[in-house]
Formats: sequence, C-alpha cells, structure tokens
Amino acid sequence: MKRIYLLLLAFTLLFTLPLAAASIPKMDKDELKNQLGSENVVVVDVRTGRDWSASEFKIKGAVRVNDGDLTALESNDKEQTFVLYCA
Amino acid sequence: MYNSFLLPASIGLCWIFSSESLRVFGAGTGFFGWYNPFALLAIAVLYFYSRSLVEQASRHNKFLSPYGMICKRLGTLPAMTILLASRLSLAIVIPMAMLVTAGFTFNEIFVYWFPNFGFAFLLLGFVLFLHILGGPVPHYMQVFFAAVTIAAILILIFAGFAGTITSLEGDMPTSKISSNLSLHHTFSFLLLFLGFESLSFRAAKRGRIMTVFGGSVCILVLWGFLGLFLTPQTKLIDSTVPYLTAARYVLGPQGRFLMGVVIISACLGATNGFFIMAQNGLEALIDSHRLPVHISHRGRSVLLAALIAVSIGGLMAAGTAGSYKLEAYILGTLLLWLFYQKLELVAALTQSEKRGDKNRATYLLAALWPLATLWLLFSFSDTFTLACFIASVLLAGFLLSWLWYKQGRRSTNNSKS
Repeated sequence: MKRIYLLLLAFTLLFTLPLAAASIPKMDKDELKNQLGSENVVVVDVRTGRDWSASEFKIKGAVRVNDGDLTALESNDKEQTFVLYCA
Repeated sequence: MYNSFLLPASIGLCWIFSSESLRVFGAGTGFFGWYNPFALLAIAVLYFYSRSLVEQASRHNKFLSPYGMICKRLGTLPAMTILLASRLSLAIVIPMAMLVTAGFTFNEIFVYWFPNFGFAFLLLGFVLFLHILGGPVPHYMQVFFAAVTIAAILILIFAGFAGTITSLEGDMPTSKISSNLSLHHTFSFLLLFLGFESLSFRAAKRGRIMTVFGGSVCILVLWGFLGLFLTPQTKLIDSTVPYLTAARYVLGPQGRFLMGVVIISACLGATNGFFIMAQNGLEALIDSHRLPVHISHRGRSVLLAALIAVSIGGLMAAGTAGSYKLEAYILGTLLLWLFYQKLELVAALTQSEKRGDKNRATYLLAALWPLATLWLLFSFSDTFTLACFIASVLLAGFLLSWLWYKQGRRSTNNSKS
C-alpha cells in the first residue's frame, strides 16, 4: 500500500512540476537583443564548467553565476527583469 | 608501428596544440608577456634533459623500459598502480574535456545549428570506430590528425605574420605589454609535453626527436609572439578560450576557422593517441608480469577502446562537462602523469647512482618535479577536490592492480604445480 502511495506521489510530481515551470516566461534571442543595455534587464549567465569556459560567446555585461552562487546579484533591485541564459 | 618515430611524435604534437594546452599557453602568454617564450624554452630544455637521463639509464640497463626501472625501484604493485591510474584516467578524463570543447568549437565556428554535444559524441564514435577497425588504421589516422593540426597552425602563423608585416606601415599595437613572473604558469608549461615521453631514442635518432620536440616548442613560441603582438594582453588573460581570441585578432574570421580546424584535429589526435597509450600500457603490464588475459590481442584492444569510449560517453551524458569540479579532475589527471614522469626520472637517477654516475645538477632536476607537482596542487583553487580525485584514482588503480597481480600469481603457481 505504501508503495502505491509513493508511486502516485511520483506521478503527480511528474505531471505538476512541468506546469509550475511553465509559469516562468521565456524570452527569445531577438527579444533579448532589443532589451540588451536596458537598466531594467539583468542577463545572468548560469552556464557552468565547460558549458561556459569552452564557449567563445559570452553576452557583454552578463553577470556570471557559478554553481548556483547568487551573491553577485544581491545588490540588484528585485524589480529588475532577470534573464537566465544557459545556451 | 608504435615503436616507430611517427606515432609517438604525433601523439605529443596533437596534445601540445590541443585546446587544453593552448588554453594554458594562452593564459601564460597573457600573464608572462615577453617572458613567455623564455619560460617555455627553459621548461622545455629541462624536460628534454630529464627524458635524456631516463633514456640513458634505460640504455645502460640493457634497454629496460622506464616502467621496468620503476618496478625495480618501487616494486611491482606500486608501479602497476601508478601506471594504470595515470594511463586510464588520461584516456577518460582529458578526451572528455577536449571532445566537449571541440563540440562547442564546431557549433560556434562551423555549423551553428549542429548540437555541440552531438558533435562531441560523433568524434568519440569516430575514434572508437577506428579502434574497432584495428590494425594499423588508428596509427595511420593518428599521424594524419597530427599533420592536419600542424598544417593548420602553421598556415595561421605564417598568414598572421605576413598580414602583420604588410600592415606595419599603418597600425601598430598600442597597448603596453606587461611582463610578470609566475611559478604557477611556469610549472603549468610542464604539462604541455604529455605524449613526448613515448619518443624513444631506440626507435629514432636523437636529432629527429630534438627536431620534433624543438620544432613544436618553436611553433608555440611563434604563436605566442604573434598573439601577444596583435591581441590586447588583458583579452588573453580574461578569455577562457585565449587561442580563439588570439586567432580572431591575428587573422579575423579566417583565423577562427583555421584555429577551429586545429582544435578539432588535435582533439581527434590526442583522444586517439591516449586510447593507444592506454592499450600499450596495458599490453606492457600483461607482458611484464605474465598477467592472465584470455582474450586475443586484437580483442583486448577493441574491448579496452569500447570500455574507455563508454566511460567517456557516460560521463558526458551525466553532465560532467558542466560540473565545476571538471577542472580539478583534468588537473588531477595531468598531475598523475607528471608524478609518473617523476618516478621514471628518480628510477633512472637511482640506476645512474649505482653506476657511480653522480651529478648534482640531476638531483636539482629531480627536485623540480615534486616541487612542480606540489605547487600546482596547492595553488589550485579547489585543492581538496583535486586531492580527493587523485587519491580516488590511485586507490582504484591499486585495487585493480592488486586483484590482477594476485590472479596472475595464482595462475603461475597453479601452472608450476
């Protein structure tokens, strides 16, 4: 019986978590390009390891967040738009 | 073909122009400034001299291999442990890093819509395919990869110099170049010579070896000068891909294209080369200690190549390339190789001492290796992870060696009785 409850919980999470994630808006590259340089937009480069170091292209002015360390963003205004960039 | 000159030379050439080496060299160039070529040449001379000592000791010991000398000095089990640990980690960790970098290079320079990890897996599959074909195929392709790498970087350098000379009437670099000294960067240059230890004075004349070794160092120095002359120094220090930054300043889009060819062909060559080195290390153990292996020589090569490829693929699929600990794993692997080089040198000096051949300069040289290893270990930003990785790999090597050696002795005792 316990196993059935655990399976039910797992399935529930499997289908509800993506719905929660879907509430976070996405921005395409053209939209971002138009907003680059704006004071209200903060681009956060969340690439880690070789995903970041092997890439030649880094967005100018992007704040690098390494391994989930958000201390670099503590001084930012929470009303700003934070764009997380991972690819 | 392994004992010939071309194959070991091509492994060393592909490594010294790989993305890993060019990154270390580029960072050193940015930091050292005009001291850079002197630092590299000094380290190159010390490295070559230490290899000469190892070869000399081998010759005086009826051409006993460096591994054989380590066995005599330390015992079989420690020698097996460090050989397995260094060769297997070299065949798995470094190719993984290079393949991921090659994937990004392909995606950002050549075909932007092709997934970078897809290309990395494609390259890995290609190297595995070469080893499944077996025979001389991986060896001939090794030489081909080295030839393409050297050709591309030479074209880039000559075109860069030609462009610089014609534009000297107009624009001169205006940024001031500062030169700094750094033991960290100096010792890091020791890691550029991986693969050249396979060059044996038995298989080729000293002059040829010096030409290949010295020639590759000269090409690197020329590249360093060109990059320093045309690239703002701060860009080299700040960039995570200083070789591409420099290539862009040297020759624009064509420079990036050529450097892309260098990175991908060197990646293929170094990966293929490390597979070959792992196979040959294994064969040396099997032959030296008569270890029980009930698979044919060709079967062993294919099986080991498949195991290594699956390990690399598994690590890539698990997202190790995105882990912040990857740099610790890479440095740990290279330090294990450096440690093995140090053991070869110490074993060689021990043999020289027994012959009554004492030279204070060689003792100083022998002291350089552990100093370099420890300096690189403790100057790394995450020494704990690095030390844990090295300890884990050595432990795994020890367990594998112990089981294998124990089984080998049991088989020998059974056959005697």
